[in-house]
Amino acid sequence: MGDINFTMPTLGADMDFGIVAKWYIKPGDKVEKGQMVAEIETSKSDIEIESFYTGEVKELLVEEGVKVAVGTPIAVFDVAGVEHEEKVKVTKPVLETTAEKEKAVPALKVKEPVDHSALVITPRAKRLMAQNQVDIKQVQSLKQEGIISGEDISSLLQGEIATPKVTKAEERQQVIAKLMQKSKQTIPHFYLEKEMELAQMMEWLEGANKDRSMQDRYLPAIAFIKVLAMALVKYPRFNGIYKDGHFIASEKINIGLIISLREGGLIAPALEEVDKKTLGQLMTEFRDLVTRAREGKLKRTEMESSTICLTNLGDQGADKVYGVIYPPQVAIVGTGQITKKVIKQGDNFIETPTCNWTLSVDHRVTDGHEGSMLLNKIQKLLDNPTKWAE
Amino acid sequence: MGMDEIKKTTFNILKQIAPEADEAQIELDENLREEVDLDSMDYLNFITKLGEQFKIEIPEADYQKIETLDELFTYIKTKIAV
Repeated sequence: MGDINFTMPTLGADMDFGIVAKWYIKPGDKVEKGQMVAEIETSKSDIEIESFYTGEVKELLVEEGVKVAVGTPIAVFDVAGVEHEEKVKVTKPVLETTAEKEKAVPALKVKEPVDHSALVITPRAKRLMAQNQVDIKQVQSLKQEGIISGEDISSLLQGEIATPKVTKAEERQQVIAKLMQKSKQTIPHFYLEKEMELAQMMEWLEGANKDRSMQDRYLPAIAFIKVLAMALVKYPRFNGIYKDGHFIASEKINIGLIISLREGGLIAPALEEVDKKTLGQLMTEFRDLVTRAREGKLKRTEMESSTICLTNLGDQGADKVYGVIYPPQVAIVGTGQITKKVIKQGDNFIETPTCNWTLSVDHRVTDGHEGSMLLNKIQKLLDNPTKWAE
Repeated sequence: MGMDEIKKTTFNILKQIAPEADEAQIELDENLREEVDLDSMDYLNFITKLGEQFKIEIPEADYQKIETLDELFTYIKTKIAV
């Protein structure tokens, strides 16, 4: 009798490592040549391996869930017929680096930033995920040199490893992502843009704000909201929802405002019946809406009632934004930052404020022709503040 | 009112608007709205609260003179002195 190493076998040309998924044997057990002794998990599949020897299990060198390189001793058998001189020196799995050692300890305790592109999910892991409805996001922090093993999933299911804590901002982002994915997959978007001249509007606002208290000053954003609503009165096919193959126009013009939350994420509550309200009312409601949105105190109706959205990224410095339609709505308007542009007026060149407006529209409901008309109407209203300002 | 108190009060107001803002991370000579990510409503609320707290009027036309915190501190000190 003599000791002999039982090593991680090569189970395919592309196999560099294997994970001992399950030991069928324990020290002291008698084994026969050809007896299945372990289940090995590889990036391709699970494979049972048999003993090449008849003898007794002396020691298991590798715990379940541990990944080792091909050729690494994983157990020691006391085998009959092995001469004393032939004894192979028993060695524990030799791990090349500290990092490698760390990875060899229960895989599931290894937490690293995840490179999704490098993730390999073993078939066993996939099977367990499917059986237990485990989402990939839940296991993304359980990385072992890019391999997510069945053991990882088992541990996750047993709660041995804390599921990566998903922050509220991440949750919100996931919800938005889902909705936007649905939008892009189901709504045939088309986009239009127009550089709007704002000289008249800005002059009007400046004049109005001079006489107003600091708190009551009008923001260009509020003027944009009002102008959009007034334009929609004339072009109602952008205001409503698409349901069961039909566009249903909304009687009310409730503009969903894309508000960024300070801790991350977006939310789109509605300012209701914008066309019927004064700029002063709208400013008060807008301020209240932003405050409550950030405090997490919005009302359900505000979250459900919008009939079109407006996203204003001008404050963040973007020149233009091509919005993704918020289903089941049929359009979203985007405004960029207000910048100054030099234009020729008569024989003179003058500086004038401008802003890019974009329009993303559901092509099932209307077309570019009508979209252009809407943008033109918006420009006309911007040129005539007395038509919409109090 | 001394400059230290102006700075302290201003930062307190800023924290009300942007609770996550880290005072130590804000560069005093950089555009405040970009540094702290203030949108136009945040900025209006900030200016309004400054006006109330320091009992000063900040005309819209002056916004371009107070783009950085350094500029703002000096502006407030000058306004209070008037």
